[in-house]
Amino acid sequence: MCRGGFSHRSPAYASVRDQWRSPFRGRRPAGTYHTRVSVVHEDTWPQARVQIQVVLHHSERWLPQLVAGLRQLTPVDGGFTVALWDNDPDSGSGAVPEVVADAAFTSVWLPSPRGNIGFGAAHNALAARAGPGCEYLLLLNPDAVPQYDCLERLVAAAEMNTTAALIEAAQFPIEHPKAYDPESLETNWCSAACLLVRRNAFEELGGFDEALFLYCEDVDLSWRSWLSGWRCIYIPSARCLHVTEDQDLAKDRSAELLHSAVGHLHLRRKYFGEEAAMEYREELRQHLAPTAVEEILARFDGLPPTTVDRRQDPHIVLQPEGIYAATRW
Amino acid sequence: MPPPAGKYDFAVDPGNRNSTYGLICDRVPRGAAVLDIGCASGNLALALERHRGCRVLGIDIDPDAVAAARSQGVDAVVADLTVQPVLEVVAGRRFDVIILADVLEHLVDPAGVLAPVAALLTPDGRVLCSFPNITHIDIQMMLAQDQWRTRPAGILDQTHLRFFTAASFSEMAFACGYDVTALERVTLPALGTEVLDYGAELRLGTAEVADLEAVARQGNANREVYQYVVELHPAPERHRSSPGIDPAQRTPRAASAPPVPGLLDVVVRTTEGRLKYLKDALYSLVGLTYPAVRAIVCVDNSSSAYAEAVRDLAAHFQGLLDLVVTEVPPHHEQRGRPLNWGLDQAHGEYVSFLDDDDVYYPSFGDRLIGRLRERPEATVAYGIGQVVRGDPTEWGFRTVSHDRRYAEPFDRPALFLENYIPINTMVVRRAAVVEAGIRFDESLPVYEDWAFLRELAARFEFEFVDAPISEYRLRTDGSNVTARGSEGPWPATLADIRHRYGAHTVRLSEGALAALAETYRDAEARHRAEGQALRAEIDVLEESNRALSGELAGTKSLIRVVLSSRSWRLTRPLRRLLRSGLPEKGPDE
Repeated sequence: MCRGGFSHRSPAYASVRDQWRSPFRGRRPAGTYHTRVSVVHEDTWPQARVQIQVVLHHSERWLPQLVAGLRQLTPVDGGFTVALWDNDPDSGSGAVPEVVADAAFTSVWLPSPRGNIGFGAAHNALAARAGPGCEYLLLLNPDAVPQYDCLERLVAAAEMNTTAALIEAAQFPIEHPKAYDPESLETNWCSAACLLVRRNAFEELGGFDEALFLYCEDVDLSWRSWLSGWRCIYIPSARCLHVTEDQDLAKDRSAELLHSAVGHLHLRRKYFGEEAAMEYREELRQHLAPTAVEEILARFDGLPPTTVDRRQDPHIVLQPEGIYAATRW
Repeated sequence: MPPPAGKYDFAVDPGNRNSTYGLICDRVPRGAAVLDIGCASGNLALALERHRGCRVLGIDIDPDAVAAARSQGVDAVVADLTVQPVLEVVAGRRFDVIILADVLEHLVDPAGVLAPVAALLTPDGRVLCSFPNITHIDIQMMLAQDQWRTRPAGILDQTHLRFFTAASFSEMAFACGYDVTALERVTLPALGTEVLDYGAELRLGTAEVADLEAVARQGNANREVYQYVVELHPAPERHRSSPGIDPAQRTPRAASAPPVPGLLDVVVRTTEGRLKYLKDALYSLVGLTYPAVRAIVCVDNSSSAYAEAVRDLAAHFQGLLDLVVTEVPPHHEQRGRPLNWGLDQAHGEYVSFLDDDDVYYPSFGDRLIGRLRERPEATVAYGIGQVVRGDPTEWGFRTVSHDRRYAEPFDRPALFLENYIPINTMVVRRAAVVEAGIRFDESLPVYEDWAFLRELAARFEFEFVDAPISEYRLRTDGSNVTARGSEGPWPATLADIRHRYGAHTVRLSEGALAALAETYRDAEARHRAEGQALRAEIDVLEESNRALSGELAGTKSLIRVVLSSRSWRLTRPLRRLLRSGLPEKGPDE
C-alpha cells in the first residue's frame, strides 16, 4: 500500500505548522483560566469524584490537543481531576507541567521514578493514589481527545448500569469493529483507550496484570471482570477521537507488534492453557522473521506463568482469527 | 468634496425586507448603542431610535448633513475618517453595532476605515455594511451596448470609487480581520434600476436581452441583486492582535493577499436538524494530523435558531479547531450555493469539502496534501472513501456495518461517463481553481459535485492515493440516500450536464480524447461480443424448441392413435382404470 503523505518528523511538517500561525487553536483568553494545582507531592493529591488518568510516553506532540479537549468536557457531579503519569520523563517532556498548568482543571503530573514501568502498572500507580471520594477512573490515551459530552455520557451510563465495572467509549472516527449487544450494550472486552472504570471494582480486581507491559492488559481486566460477576459495556454515544490503525503516518508500529504478540501469548496461557500458547508460537514462527519471534519468546518466557479458571464463561473466547471478540465488519 | 446636501436622504421603511435600511434595522438588536458612519441627515438613526430604542451617534463628512441630522434631534458629529482616527472622533465610546451603509464604495481606501472600527465594538458587537452589486444584469446590458455612464445616484453613483461583488467584499472584510456572518440581498429585476434609466435607454432587441439573460442565468446567480447587506464579526485573535488605535499605523492585508501557505480550508455544508451529525464531522477535523486546518461551516437554508445552535456547538471547539461559522443567504435548493459560498471565504493553499454527516479520517490531510507536494503537476488529490451504514439515533450516527469502498484509480474518460469520486475524498489546490474560474454550478439541482469534477478533470491532473481517508455515512432509514436513476431530478439533470458540459466546457487534450475513444471502442467491441454470444444462445434455444415441438407432435399423434384404437392391447390401461374406479385420496395422503 502506498503510504504517501508527509510525516511529522519531516521538515515540511514543521514549516507548514510554523507558517500557519493559527488565530484560534491553542488560544487561551487571558484571565479565563488559572492554575490550581500542578504538583508531584502526594499529600496534595487533588480530590474529585472522577479521576482522569493518562499515561504519557513520548506524548509531547499530543498534549496541547489533549488538554484543549479536557478543557471542553462538560461538568459531571462531583467534578474531575486529571492525573498524568510520565513513563519517560527524560524524553524532553519537561514541558508537560507547563502545558497542563495552563488548563482550567486541577491536575497532577508524576514523572515515573523507576523509568518506564509499562502501561498497566502506571495506571495502577495512579489509581492507588486517588482520594477517598473518587468513584470512577477515566483511563485515557494521550493521543485521544474525548468529545465534550463523552465523560458525562459515560458517568450517566455507569450510574444506570451499577453492575458494570468497565464502561467503554466508542473510538472515533474509525470505530473499533468488535461486536457488542445493541440492547444490553454488553461486550466481551473493553479497550482502555478511553475507559471509565468503577473504582471499587478496579480495587477488588487488583487492577491491571502488571506482567503485561503494553497491550492486552485491558482484555485481561475485562475477562477477570466477567469472571468476578461484573459486566463490561460499550457506550456508542460516548465518543473519543483516537488516531488508530494506519492513520498516524509518523507512528512506528514495531513496538505494537512485539508487545501485542507477547500479550497474546500470555492471555492464551492464562485462560486457555499451555497448549493454546504453543499453538500461537507456531503461528508466529510461520508469519514472522526468526529474530522477531526470538525477541517475542524471550520476553514471554520471562513472564510469570499465571493461569485462571475460566469456567466456560461465554465472554472469554478466542475467535478463529486469534482475536478476542467477534467483529462487526 | 462633500456631496450636495440632501442627496443621500433616503426614506426608511423598517418592515421592508427588500430594502437596505429595512434589512439593516432588522439586524440591530433593541436598545443597542449604534455608530452610524455616513449618517447623512439622520433618517436611519432616527428610525433606529424610534423603532428599536437605540442610542445612535452619527458621523458624516458633510457639515450640512450633520446640521440637518441635529435639527432632527440626532446626535451627530462632522468628521473625515480617512484622515481622523475614529477612536478620537468617538472619544473612547464603544458600540454594539457600527453601520457603514453605502459608505465604503465612496472611499479611496475602504479597508483603512473598515479595519480600525473593530476596536470600537463591544465583545459581541457587529459591523453592518451595505454596498451596491456591480454585477447586476443592468450593468451587464449597459456594457453589452458599449456604454459606461455614471449616474447621480445608484450603482454607478458618480462619487463611487470602489466596486464590489459579494466575493470581493468578503475578501476585503477577511483581510480587515472580520468574518462575514450573514449576507442579505435587495433585488431589482432586469431594467429595474437607474443604470439604463429603467429601460428607457435600452437599445438591445428583445431577443438580445433574452440571450443576455440566458448567459447571466448560467454564470451569475446574483444578476438581480441591487444591494448587499452584510454582517461582520471581528474574527477572534485576528482582531485582538491588531492595535486598533491609529489607522495611520495600520497596514491591512491587501485583498489580493496570496493564499496562506499550507493551510487547508475545509468547507463544511450543514443544514437544519443535523447538529448531532455535524458534531462528528467537526471532531473528525480536530483529529486530522495535518497541522494547519480551518473549518468554514456554511449554514445552509436554515432558521436563525439553527445557526445559533451551530455557533453554540462551535464554542465547544475552542482551542481544538479553527472554525468560522457563516450563514449562506437563502436560495432555492441549489446544492452548489453553499459550496461556492464556502469557496469564496477560503484563503488557504488547499481546499476540501465535507458534508455535515460525513467524516474525514485522521490521515486525510497528511496523505492527500503530502501527495500534492510530491507531485507539483497535480491539482487534485483524492483517496479511498469508505461507505459505512448505520442507524440514526437521538444522539447521532450509530455505526452498524462497513460497506463498499470508493477506490478507483483515476480514469478521466470514466469520470466523464459517471461520477465515482465522492466529494469528501479530495483536496484541491485552491488558487488553480479560482484562477480557472471553476465553481459549483448553482443551476443544477443535483450532480453539482460531478459537474465540478468534470470541469476539474478537463483542465487538471488528478492523483489517486490508495488509502482510506474518509467515511461516507449511509443511514439505514434512507434519510440521506438519494434514489439516483429514474426518478426526480436525476435523469433530466444528467441529460443537461451531458449536453452542457459535453458541448463547450470540457476541453480534452489529444491524449485524453484518444483514451476516451479507446474506452468507447472497447465498450463497442464488448457489446458486439456480448451480442454475438446472445445470438448463439438464441440459436441453441430455437434449435431445442424445434426438437421439442417435434417431440410434442409425436406424442399428440400417439394419443390420437390410442384414443381411436380398437386394439385390445393398446386400450388395456383404459380398461384397468375403469375397473378400479378413479384413484381416491388415501387417509394418510
